Amino acid sequence: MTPSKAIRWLLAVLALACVLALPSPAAAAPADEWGFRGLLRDGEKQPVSGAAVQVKDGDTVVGSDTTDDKGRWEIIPVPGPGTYTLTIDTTAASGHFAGDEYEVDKELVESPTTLPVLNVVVSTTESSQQVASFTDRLAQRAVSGFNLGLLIAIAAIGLSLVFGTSRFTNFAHGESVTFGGLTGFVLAHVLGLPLLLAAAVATVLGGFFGYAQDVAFWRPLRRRGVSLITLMIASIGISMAIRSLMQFSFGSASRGMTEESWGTVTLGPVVMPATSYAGMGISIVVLAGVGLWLKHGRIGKATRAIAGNTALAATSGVAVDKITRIVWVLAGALAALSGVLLGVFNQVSFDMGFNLLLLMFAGVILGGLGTSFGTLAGSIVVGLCTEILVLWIPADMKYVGGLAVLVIVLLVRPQGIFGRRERIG
Amino acid sequence: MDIIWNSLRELITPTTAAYALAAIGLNVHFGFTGLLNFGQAGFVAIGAYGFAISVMTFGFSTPLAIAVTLVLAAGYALLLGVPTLRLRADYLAIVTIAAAEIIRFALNSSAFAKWTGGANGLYNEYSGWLKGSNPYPSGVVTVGPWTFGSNDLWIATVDWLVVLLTAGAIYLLVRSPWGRVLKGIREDEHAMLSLGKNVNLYKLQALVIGGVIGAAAGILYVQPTSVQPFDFATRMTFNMYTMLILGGAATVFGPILGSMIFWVVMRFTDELVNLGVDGGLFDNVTQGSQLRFVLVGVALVLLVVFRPQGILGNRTELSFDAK
Amino acid sequence: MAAVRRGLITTLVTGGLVVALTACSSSGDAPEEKTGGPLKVGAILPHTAYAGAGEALVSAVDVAVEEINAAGGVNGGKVELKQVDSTDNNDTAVQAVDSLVTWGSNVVIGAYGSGMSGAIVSKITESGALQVSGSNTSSSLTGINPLYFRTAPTDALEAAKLADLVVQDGHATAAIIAQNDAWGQAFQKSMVESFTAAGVEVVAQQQFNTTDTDYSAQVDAVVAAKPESIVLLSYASYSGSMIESLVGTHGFTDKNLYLSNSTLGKYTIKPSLLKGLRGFLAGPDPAVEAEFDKKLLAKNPNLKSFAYAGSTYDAVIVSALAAIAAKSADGKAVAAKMAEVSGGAEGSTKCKAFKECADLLAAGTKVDYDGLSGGLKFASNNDVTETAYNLYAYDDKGSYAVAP
Repeated sequence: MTPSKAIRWLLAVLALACVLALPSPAAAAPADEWGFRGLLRDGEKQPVSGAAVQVKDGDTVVGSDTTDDKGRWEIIPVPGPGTYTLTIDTTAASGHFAGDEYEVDKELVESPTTLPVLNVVVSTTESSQQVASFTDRLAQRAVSGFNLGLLIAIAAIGLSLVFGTSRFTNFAHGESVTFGGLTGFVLAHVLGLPLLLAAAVATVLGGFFGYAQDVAFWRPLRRRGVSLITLMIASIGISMAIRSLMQFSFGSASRGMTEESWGTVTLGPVVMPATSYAGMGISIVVLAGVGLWLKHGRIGKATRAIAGNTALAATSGVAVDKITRIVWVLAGALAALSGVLLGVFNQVSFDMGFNLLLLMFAGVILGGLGTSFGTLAGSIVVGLCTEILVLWIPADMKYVGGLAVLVIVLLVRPQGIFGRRERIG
Repeated sequence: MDIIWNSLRELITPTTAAYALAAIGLNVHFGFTGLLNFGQAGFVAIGAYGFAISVMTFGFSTPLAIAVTLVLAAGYALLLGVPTLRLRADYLAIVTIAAAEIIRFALNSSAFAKWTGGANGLYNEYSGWLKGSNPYPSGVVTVGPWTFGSNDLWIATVDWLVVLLTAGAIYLLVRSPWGRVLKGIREDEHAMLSLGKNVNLYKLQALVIGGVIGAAAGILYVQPTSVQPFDFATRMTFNMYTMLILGGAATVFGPILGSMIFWVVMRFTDELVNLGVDGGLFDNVTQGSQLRFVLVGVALVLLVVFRPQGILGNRTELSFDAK
Repeated sequence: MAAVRRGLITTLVTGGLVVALTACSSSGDAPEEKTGGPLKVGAILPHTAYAGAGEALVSAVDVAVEEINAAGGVNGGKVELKQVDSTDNNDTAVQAVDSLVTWGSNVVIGAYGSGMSGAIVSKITESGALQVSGSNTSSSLTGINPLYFRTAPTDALEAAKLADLVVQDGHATAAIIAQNDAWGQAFQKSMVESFTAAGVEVVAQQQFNTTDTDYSAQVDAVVAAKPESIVLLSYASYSGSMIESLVGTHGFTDKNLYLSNSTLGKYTIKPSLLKGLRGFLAGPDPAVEAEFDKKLLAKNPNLKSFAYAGSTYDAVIVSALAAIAAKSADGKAVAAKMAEVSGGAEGSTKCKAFKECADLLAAGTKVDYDGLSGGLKFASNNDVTETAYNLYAYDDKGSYAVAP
């Protein structure tokens, strides 16, 4: 046997640790069940037919076969477990292998966790593994990040508006997002409404949910004149209660939002479902609408006035209580819309909003608490960092990217990107 | 009757003790100084992992492992405190919660599984020092109406000793001039500034002390069980706030009493759910268990709104209802 | 000052009660021998966590105990059952175990995750009870305690079967998306080992957290590596959007996307996306499996996935049989008979249902219980061997059946 130039890789002698721990003679298969079968391919992933395959125990030939037109050889039986050498001779094979010989050591292990007949792939040349280029991956991640950022932004604008008018950080805001997702699921999947209609109805119902929260919890608490930190801690309790109630009624499983599919859009290297682009379009329109309303609408101006100075706004004739109520309705509706979009983007579950909450906080604070445009920008920065940084950090740590950018920005610029200095005092 | 004794058993379990200790640490932040630390779970995680990894990976002796862990926690407190203490209260809340989650995600990631065990966590191969010194007879020990595993009871004994010693130290600390400055900061930061006190320095000291106590609680927390990353989620911190407000923030014994009541009630509601299932009240046992957490949430709201000073607290001396 | 004193008093009164009780504590090596009493089965399974993946196990325990009692119970008495919520946190789980131990469990079924089992095993076994899990698959638990058993097969054999299938379909490269938890990590490791043994190159491995808002980063990363095949190691609850994305958006098909046992479940996505997708399930006979799933659904109509329900059912049945063989409910005595009733004795008779086995035992015959999880047999380290796997595939209506 002349060693071939191609003997260079796949000398895999397996050391399965569990084998030592699992000596189980009772599970031994009959001797004639041991063997090797497999597949021979060339570098272009094409099967190689007509090659001679031999299984050797030391120098003794145990069995042999020839690969068929699919590049396969059938089971070559061996007497029992042990290490064998597979020799493949391509002299008679179709193609241009010039009689190359390949040799691979393979071990059959007597263990309840491995198979007695090993199915082996052997490649004649190292296949050149094609991978997507870095810029392609970056583009894909950037679009995903932008999408996530918009989702965060829609939900976070409500959080920011509530902060502006009611002055406290609402930990139960995630549940408003969940409410939207679950309502959307019931409408789109259970009742079978078209996706867009379901989204619209869920958004309206989300507005009612926001209104109900204000009437049931926050207005009475404001009337009692409790402190902001009390409100914040109460919102944690409310969040926990609503979340568990949703789990109670909806169950713990995640579910797909809808069976509706709008097909796939390929833009250069970026492949996304059409629903994601539609979602982004809706987000941008809604965000622009809210932005314009805040800037030019009468109620929007009043909202900003309250956010600026509540007492002054009240003395100037702004109906603070009414405006606050409207803000809660708007916050609930936007959060619900975000929940529907998130459900389409991924799935719906009872804790989907809660899982998003921290990223919303990051978006709001990064932009500067209480500024709507800042929230939008901050959310998109958070979304982009979360999705893009996974090119370098493990994907199971991807939230670390979004949260770390928050911590780092606050070190440099405590008032956030667009916040005013006095807000941090 | 059984379910009441069963529930009362939680008064002295190691988990109750560890939570009490962590809540004492949080009380130094929130109750005495007014720092809204929503990331106490991060300190507890550092304690748990720091100790377990020191012993299991680096083979440190127990005292060295404890020292390294506490120094680590102090370092984390400085890292967190220096940039964030100048921020407004709710900014601090969100930065601490974000930092704690960063820690948890990193510990949970398979990237560092070589040291942390990833999502599997670490099996208990680090509490030999405690079990080795166990004076109780092996097997099952009966304490009054309850039975305990011998090791469990020994760990509980050690835990409660640590809790009482710490509570004693806190008692002395808050009555010292240093403690009075902390309270001053909580009540009116600007007044303390105008008295020439370095407010940020005091806050930082409080953050370090509370954080180190939290890390010590983390060491105790994992002794009877294993280290599991999911334990250190935000829920842990929220539980501690419930305890703190239940027992009375800014009191020395509030967190201890709060932890005892919290765990007794948690146990009791679970037993009730079981009764409800037996009695055909719920379709299946899972639904009942979900309702239990609705109760916990509602209880937190009612408490903070109607009795923010908790059981032991004094309404006039409230850290967070002053504004 | 007054407040401090009041606090001190209140706490001391509470603590003092405890200290007083400790002082008058008696101690003994073990609680009274419970040989005569009924078999008490405790179960610590997740009711509120892991996206409902544990709920089928809860129902499986209910079904098993009902069947045992309908067949006359164990040693002349009805089996008593207490189920507690493990949640996904050790602190509440430890509490729940305490309550099971105090209640006097002889057998504890659970926990769901391997990590949690590692946390509670010493507590349970210290009380003299045996712990049997139907869902722990991590190899780090092998031989951890003589009173710890498991009826769930380790994933290694399933991984070997999947690798075999991948090679059979003609792929030489593969990518893995795995759930980041004890189950997913152990499975992923086995999968990589099996692929390496078969000569299949693993070109990408991605883990996801079950609490993430979306898994597009993981999907995109494996797609970017351009693998010939992808193995999805995740619970059905999380897999919907990944299957939608891989099949619907990135053009993977039933010929190069493979599912794990837990990925097989009910989905609310378009059924055409699932059509033909394959995965292995442990179990001897699909008809028996379907019958069992019906019983579970009767208990809880919301169930979405049935992974490990069969092996959890087996965990209850086999420990009840061991108790009959031991003629005792004592944990250690039951443990001593576990290997025997699973087929470890010479000349034992195979049986498939509790009643059949119990009747044989009553007649003095040694039995070999082969349960729903396939042939069941405990090795010397209390792990289960002799698992049978069937290849399942989705039809065009979104349900799965044994592949033709």
